[in-house]
Amino acid sequence: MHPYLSAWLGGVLIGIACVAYLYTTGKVVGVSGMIARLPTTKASPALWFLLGILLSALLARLFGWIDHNAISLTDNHVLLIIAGVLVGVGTRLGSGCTSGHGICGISRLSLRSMVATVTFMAAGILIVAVTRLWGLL
Amino acid sequence: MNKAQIYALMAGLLFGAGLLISGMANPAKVIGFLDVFGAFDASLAFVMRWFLFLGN
Repeated sequence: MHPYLSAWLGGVLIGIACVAYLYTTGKVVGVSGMIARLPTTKASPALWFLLGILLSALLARLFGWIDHNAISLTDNHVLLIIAGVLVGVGTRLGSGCTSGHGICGISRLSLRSMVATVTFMAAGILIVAVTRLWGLL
Repeated sequence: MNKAQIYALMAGLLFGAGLLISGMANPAKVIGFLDVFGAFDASLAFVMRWFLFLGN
């Protein structure tokens, strides 16, 4: 399957998932918010949503639906932890992430979400350009 | 486990499937999108905005 076609298909699934979640729980999908609220959440739909994501990855792994050799991740654990912390801090400061702002927010025509999405995309583009320039990535 | 939780779990499974199928679970794909000045991979654009795929 052409990569852009599978990307589009994946996007459709993500969109359907977000609509389904909104319809059944009345809340929008925002993964960073869900994770941030984990310490205080008690078997809420958000927790089960996150479990669903993890489960899908586990199933894909078990049944070999995904080629795991294609996934490239740095071996540097320290770097991963630092990056994770940065993502956590950044998404809380921005009150959302790609799912909350990028998908749900923009779909609801939220100006705030559009600003947030453009900002983190721009930041990402800048960082990648700089790392390419310095030959880091 | 009540109904809302089951629906949420299924939504999560669907969301995860979307991430996997779209290739967004692979960091290289995401970086490819951000690499505007280099090897640009527009996949993320298709994921987020459902741009219709025309042609081959």
